Amino acid sequence: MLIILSTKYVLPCAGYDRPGGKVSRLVVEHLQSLDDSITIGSIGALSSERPGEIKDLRSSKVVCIDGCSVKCASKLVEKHSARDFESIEVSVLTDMQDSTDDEKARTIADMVLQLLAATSTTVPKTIDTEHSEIDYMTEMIDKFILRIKKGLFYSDNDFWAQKEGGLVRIGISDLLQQMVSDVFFVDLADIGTHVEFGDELGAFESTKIAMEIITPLSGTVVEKNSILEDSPEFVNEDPYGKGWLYVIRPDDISELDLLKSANEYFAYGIEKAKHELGKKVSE
Amino acid sequence: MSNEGGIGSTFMSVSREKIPWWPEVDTDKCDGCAGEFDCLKFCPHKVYRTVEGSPPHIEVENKFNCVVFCRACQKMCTKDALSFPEKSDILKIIKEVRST
Amino acid sequence: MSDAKKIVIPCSGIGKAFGTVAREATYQLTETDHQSEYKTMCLPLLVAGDQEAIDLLKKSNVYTIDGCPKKCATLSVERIGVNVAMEVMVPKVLAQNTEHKPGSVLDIGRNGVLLAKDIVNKILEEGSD
Repeated sequence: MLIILSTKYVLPCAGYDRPGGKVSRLVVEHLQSLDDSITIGSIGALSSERPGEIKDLRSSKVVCIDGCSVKCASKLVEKHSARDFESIEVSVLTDMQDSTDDEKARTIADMVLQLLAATSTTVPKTIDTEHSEIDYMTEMIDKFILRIKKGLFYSDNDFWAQKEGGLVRIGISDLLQQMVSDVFFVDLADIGTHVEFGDELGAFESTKIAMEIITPLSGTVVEKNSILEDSPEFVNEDPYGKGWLYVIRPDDISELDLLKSANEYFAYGIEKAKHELGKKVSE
Repeated sequence: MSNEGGIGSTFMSVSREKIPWWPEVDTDKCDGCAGEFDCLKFCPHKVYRTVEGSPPHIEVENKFNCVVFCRACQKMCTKDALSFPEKSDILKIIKEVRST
Repeated sequence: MSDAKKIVIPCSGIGKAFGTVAREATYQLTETDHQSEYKTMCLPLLVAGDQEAIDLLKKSNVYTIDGCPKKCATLSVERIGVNVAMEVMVPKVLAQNTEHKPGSVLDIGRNGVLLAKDIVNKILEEGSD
């Protein structure tokens, strides 16, 4: 599936001490006067992984302007985005050796605009065809990508609950699936089982841990995802979709108020992930 | 696997120390699994520690590290030495604290 | 049953303990009591298109052992036009013997060796006709 990236993101080199860096800066000035819809990226913001910057980067067509062969801008984009991108290296444009910096900058600005126009539809290197960016909040914490689906409720035991008419579907969050690693066995409770908030509804086992499924609401099981008995890996592959666990008829739908919203769980998840990473590094 | 719990953390927006959830070890029944200490090895949250004795057995060291509503270690115990509070009581306490 | 050879092919999974278990199970068949009956073959050799290896495989009963749902061994064999007589998935065997959870990729431990044995038993019991 092709994704049309309508926003444009240009990341200029930050090497102010070098001629290439100076030209990059001039390119940006020209670009801004030619097309004010272009987002100018910041090497500093990307390095410190400011969420807004990462989001802009990942949802746009990207062109890097590298001032020299160290290619800081390109390296940084490689690190934070899975998509293909374009880059121009100022120092290799040897046929412009006699031009002034300003002339070089104009030429490069034109090249950038051409690249942005040409790559109006791109196929990303890895693509998540079923999930559009607007349904999920993502955050990169080191190499760990936290993915929280909007519109769901989340328990502090890391299970999600989704309202479906009068019923509630539950599953495990992407955070939990990443922490427990490969699930190889799921033991589901029977249809008709009644539970109170916090009770166990079956269990699952992964290479790292054996865990109970802790229900995020009180109610009766009306459906269970039996396919997990043959394909437990769905829990890891698609925790919000085909890895669902149960559909429950709730005793009291207002009980979902006890759970966190997606935004609240997002903040909670970031802290938990950082903590988890701290542990991984020391082990 | 890490734990976000412990002293100073919250569970369902309630300060963890206000929630009386942790395992009780029946010292008459616990025999340390003949040195295997299955519950201690299983728990990723460092709730347990070993205690000298004849035989050496288990006690709870970090009760607030225990994940509220989790009873996974109980299944590991062959001597039925671990018990937990009633979940409905715990939920009541959580709701009460939240409403104040 | 014909006197076609039995060839066991484990996956090449190097990132997970299950890959090591798959190879351990293979060696338990090919290096011990059953070595007269069971042989193995290098999966990458097949993927690289070695014709001699492929021809031999086509004349044999092929057993694949896959460490994860990607099923590289099974899919690779099928892609070169060879039918798989029996396919074993390591995680499924573990699900039936959860106490035999292997250790790490470098050292699957006593339980990992037992899991390999579970796989061998499955092949011995269900694999012959």
